[in-house]
Amino acid sequence: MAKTALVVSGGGSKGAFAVGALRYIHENVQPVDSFDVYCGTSTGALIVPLAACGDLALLEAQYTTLRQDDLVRLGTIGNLVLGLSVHDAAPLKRKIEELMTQGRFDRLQAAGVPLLLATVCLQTQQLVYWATQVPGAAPAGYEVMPIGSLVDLQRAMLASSCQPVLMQPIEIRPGAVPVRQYVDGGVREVTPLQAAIAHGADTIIALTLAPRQTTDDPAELTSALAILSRTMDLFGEDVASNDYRLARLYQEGNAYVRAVGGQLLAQGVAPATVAAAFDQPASPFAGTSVTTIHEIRPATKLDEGGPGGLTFDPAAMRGMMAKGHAAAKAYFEALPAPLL
Amino acid sequence: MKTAVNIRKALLAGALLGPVGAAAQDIPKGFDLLAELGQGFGRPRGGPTLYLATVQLVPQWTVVPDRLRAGLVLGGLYPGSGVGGLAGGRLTLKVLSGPPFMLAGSFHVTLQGEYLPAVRVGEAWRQWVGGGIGVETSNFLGLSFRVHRDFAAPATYGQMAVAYNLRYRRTLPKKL
Repeated sequence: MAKTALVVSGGGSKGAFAVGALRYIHENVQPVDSFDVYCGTSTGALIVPLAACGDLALLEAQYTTLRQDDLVRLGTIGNLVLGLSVHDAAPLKRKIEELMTQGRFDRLQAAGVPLLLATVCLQTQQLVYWATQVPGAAPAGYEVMPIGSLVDLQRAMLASSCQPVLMQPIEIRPGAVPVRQYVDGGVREVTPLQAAIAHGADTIIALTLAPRQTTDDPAELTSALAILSRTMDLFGEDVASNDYRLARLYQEGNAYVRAVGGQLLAQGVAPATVAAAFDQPASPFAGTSVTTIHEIRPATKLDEGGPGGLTFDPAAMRGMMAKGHAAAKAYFEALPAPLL
Repeated sequence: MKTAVNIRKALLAGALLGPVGAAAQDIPKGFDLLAELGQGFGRPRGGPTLYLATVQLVPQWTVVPDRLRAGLVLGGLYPGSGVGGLAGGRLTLKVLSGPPFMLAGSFHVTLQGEYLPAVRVGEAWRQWVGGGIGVETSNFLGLSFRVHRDFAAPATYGQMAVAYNLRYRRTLPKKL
């Protein structure tokens, strides 16, 4: 049976773009609480659990009214030397506890839908997905940790959203030995496509909150600081583009395997023989079936979200929500056939 | 979230959260206790310029967050001969914020006004009134320049003081 996945990237207040896209998808493609797998990083980790609960109106309300003070208590530069982080994410923790209630957690548990939130562990440097369902076989390249309680889920949402240095790292299970501190999964995976693929999704709707590539800058760089700035841009974009590069490889690989299988069947090879031929332990595509990735992004940078997406201006967020709705509409209306 | 890019932008662009938000912790709500060491000069009218040293504890309460603090000044002084004590009040008004760095307040400039009605050196009681300008960072360290005029005797005192907030840790982000 075909599996669809919803994947939402990080982007802070630019999550409003994703929420706008979700409104279009909900009304025209498929209900937001009907996906088979949900994956999110950072602001995406705040969005997908509520989407899985069908709380789209709540998401819209939050992403058009949230202000700076609702999420972070700003600090001073002394905290860089003296503190655990420059700013304090305590308001964000309270907001998550307000939104992710026991009732919503129980609904997610009852639905049995895989929900995967991306974090990075500072001790092991691994990409770690916190998941309501853990796959049997250990996936390559990342760890999966089980979400066993409401508090686990709330703290995983918080950890996935806490940009290192700017906000505190989070011990999802405080006091655990050895110590494990988790930060924003966007350090290693901005758009968490890998988890959706590993969970057997055929079709992925991926909402990424940045354009494919930053606009070229023809200006000569004349200072080390400007070169450092550009270099870090490159590092960040490389992380983001690798998410898609690897996912596209799986997509194309699966499409290729299916095409070859189809050819063999058309030429009279027995289905069992074809299946056995492809069912090799060494197959890099074993356990995956992704063939379609719908990539929805803004055409240009969402500058109104501010650098880092940490400018929470309700008017700007309403504008980004409208852009997300328009981008999804344009994308799906351009498809040759309806998605579902 | 494109974290690497975000942090770079926070580091280098510096204006992520805007000046109002970024300055919110310059003068946080609550009580602070500053320890100050100062040195400068005292110049009685018609007399020689004398060395001045002060050591002070300055309990301060925030009246208007990010704008105005008020409190006491309690300490000792050495005005060139003999030692004494001083007590009075201080108002500190933030007038300027430095550019945010990593979204955080960097420094701010204050105007200070002091009235010290109880300055005693030897057997003499004095009354000082004065003010100055200060630069503070992170609700942690400060440097100020102040001038006082002695009401009871025609003398002027000037000093540069370094302040250390003994309660700065109260505003640091805690483990969540």
